[in-house]
Amino acid sequence: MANVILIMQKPGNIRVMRQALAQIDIEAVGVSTEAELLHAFCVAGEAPAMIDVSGFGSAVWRMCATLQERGNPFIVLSAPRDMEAGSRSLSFGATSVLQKPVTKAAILQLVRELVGHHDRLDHAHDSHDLE
Amino acid sequence: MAQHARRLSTGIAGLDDILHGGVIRQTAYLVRGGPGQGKTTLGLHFLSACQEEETALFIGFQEPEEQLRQNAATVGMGVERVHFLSLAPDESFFTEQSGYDIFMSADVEQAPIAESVVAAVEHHRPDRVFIDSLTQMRFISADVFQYRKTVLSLLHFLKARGITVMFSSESSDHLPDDDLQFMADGVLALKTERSVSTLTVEKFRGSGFRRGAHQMRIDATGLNVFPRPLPPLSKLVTDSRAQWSSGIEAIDAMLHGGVEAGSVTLITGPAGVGKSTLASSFAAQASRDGYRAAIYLFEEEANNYLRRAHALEVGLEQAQRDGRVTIEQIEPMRYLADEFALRIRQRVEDQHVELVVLDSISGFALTLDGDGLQERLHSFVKHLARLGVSVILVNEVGEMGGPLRISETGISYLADNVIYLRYMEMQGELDKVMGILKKRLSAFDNTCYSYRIGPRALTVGEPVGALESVQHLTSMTSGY
Repeated sequence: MANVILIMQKPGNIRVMRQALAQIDIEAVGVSTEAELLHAFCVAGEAPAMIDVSGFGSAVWRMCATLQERGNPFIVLSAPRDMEAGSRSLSFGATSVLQKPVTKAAILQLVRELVGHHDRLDHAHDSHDLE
Repeated sequence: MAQHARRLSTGIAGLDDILHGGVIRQTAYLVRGGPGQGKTTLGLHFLSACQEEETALFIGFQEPEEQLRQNAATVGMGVERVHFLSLAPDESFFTEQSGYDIFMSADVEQAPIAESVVAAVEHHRPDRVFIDSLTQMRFISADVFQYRKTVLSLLHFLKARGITVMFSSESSDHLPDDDLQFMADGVLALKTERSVSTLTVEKFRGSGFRRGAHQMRIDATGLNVFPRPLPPLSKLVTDSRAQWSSGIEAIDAMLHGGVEAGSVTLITGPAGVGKSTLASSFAAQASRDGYRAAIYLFEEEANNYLRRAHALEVGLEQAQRDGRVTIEQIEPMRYLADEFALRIRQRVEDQHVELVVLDSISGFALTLDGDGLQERLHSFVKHLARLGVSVILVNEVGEMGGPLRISETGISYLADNVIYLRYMEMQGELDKVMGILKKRLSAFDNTCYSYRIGPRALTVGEPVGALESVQHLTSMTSGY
């Protein structure tokens, strides 16, 4: 089961991010359309997501809304020229907005924390259900 | 012996000569220059020069291995002992849109490159490495400090393993590489100006080297460097003979016997006045005296030259048949000045030539594409003269009359002897006059004489007067 959903238009971005996440043993599923995102929920559930807003147009807001509705925490990445869009994503519940390019070490630390927090929450939910 | 054991051939004879035997082992050399200057070719030469027991590694950022092998094969370089590590992107980077912008390149690229280089070095254990180019590393470094640290560390890593390193950089005004120059033990700069390519050694720690811009050419055999002839500080040989005779008694008398061995003689005058004929007379007489001479023709066809000499009974044909005079027609556009100089030097040494005729200076100038004639001619002529070889330079001046000018290119200082030939109008008839303007090593007759060429010989006639009076006469009457 994937630990992270990567929503990115550029295949190159998905490639390098997956490689980086693999270094800290985090498996990621990459999507670049709304349809693929819906499919990704089947393999990633409520896993945290990372969404690069560049290149999606208005579809990005529908995807942010979907993530918010489904309860997937998500980080937004945006180009310096696109910071307005990045800020808008906060209204859809983005946990962080980062400007590209990001430092690999910093993003990995952020994802690690997000995944860890999500896992703890999951674990807590499971325990609660058991009780 | 110990000195040579420290050296490695660069695979280019001319460059080894300039570096006094090659590069020094376990050091790092920067090859810098703009695009298409021959940096990669030089690197391939360096690697392909590895000895039987050696191996070499090419680390390339730009071209795939297949292309590099093909390039080497095109110029006949053997790269059997060369391993290639190509870090160039393959086509999938484009077709699969593998470009990215979420990370800095340094974050993504540096680690895999370092891993690949370390793995290749550990696996192949090369004696020589060429990195083409370290400019690429600059683009994947976070900042200048990181870049310098990475390069220094890489060079230390390679040198610590006993490897001799060459690395290239694409230097330009927009992308200076001063930092690499400081880090390298030696710097070879490749440059092209006015269509002439040169190699200059800008730095070479631990050894002397031949300074200056050495001309080079990339052709079907790869990169050829022609060390700029540097005149020895003093004469290397004792002259074996006293004077060269022209074979024409009257001219020898004007010269008080002839021109001295090891001297430089300038025969100057306008077109058609007989300069080449006079020069060929010296060469023919040298052969009759048992010496070897070489004539280099830049302008006139050798056949015409010989036919004229034959008509005037100069005796060149016999001398050529005896192998004592060689006549070589030079197409100036095919040669570089230093290449030509090297060719002559080799002939002088191999065939014991003692008299060289260069006909003419303006033809020689064509090999330079109009650049640095004085400098190149100085090196060339002085080198020969200090080897004890006498040189005759044929020089054409534009003016048919008017005040006497020895040369229009500022090279008259090179000459120990100056023989001038010119036209003069006297009593309604066009005549030719000659005289000696300068002779450093002996006294001479400073009277001008009329002369005729043909029908069977060059014959000197009556004295016309001293130079001053002839100058006055020609400037007053010249209409040519």
